[in-house]
Amino acid sequence: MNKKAFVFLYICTVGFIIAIMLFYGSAGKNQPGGKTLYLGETEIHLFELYQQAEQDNYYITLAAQLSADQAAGDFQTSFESTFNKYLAKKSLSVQDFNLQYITKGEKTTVIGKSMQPLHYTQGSASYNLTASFRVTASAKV
Amino acid sequence: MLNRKGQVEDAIEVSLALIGMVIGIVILTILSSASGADISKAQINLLNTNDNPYDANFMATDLQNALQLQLTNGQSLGEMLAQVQEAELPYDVEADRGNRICNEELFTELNIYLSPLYKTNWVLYVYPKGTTVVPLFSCNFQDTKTNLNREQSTIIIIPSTDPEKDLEVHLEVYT
Repeated sequence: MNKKAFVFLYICTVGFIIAIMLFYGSAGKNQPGGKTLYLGETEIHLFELYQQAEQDNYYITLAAQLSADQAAGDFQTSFESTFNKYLAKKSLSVQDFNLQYITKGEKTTVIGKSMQPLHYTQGSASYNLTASFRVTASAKV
Repeated sequence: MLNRKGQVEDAIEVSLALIGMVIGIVILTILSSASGADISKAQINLLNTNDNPYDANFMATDLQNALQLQLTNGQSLGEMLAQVQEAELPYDVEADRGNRICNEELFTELNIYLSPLYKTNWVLYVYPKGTTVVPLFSCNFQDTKTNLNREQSTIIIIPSTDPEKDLEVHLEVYT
């Protein structure tokens, strides 16, 4: 090869090496979607949030059942007083719930639904749950 | 047969090709090492993470569903366990045993639900929240723990009849 051809070969070789290094060096940074997570990480977070939300909803439902079972005298006042103590542990109060009382014979049914959805976040995953319950107690109003 | 000039050019081209191959191998080795290190980092992160594996999440769902099972006395298991009280002093172990360990009827009801998932290798404990010294209630197949190793466990917090005190329900699975 003549001298000019060698110069061209050198340029191509160096350019190729630089191109490879630049491509692999910045490939991760140029991908869309912000911070890179490991495969399945968001799904695990979502499962955990769902599980936490369902456990909280179960806690609230069971607390409502226990409050209804323990209610004596003025059912509504007694129920809400006891229920409020349970809800305080979840940073909630009875004011956060829309409560409906239905009495049939000696049985009282309480239907509750949170007025604002409970919001859970972890990492990039988020989950909203509207807590609700329906419990029946054998107590006179 | 090439002339002398042609032979020199061949030697230069072969040398350049060899140098190019060496550089290529070095670059690919560096990239491979970097990729291996990244995978290793990901594995270490996953091993050290506080995230539960999928099984543990599904196990918590199994436990929650078990707590909602309607027992023959009309109560759900969760309601029954919520009424478990701490023992009052003086504590009579023998007299209280019946209240602290599930009877055969309750075990059978729970086992119908849990055995397709965990055979008879499951144990249910109820502790006061924050302590795991003495269970307030337990339900398990006889001698489950003596020959087996604990594989997986999950915890759900439930309220008790006393609004000030919560309970921990543990489901442990042995293999």
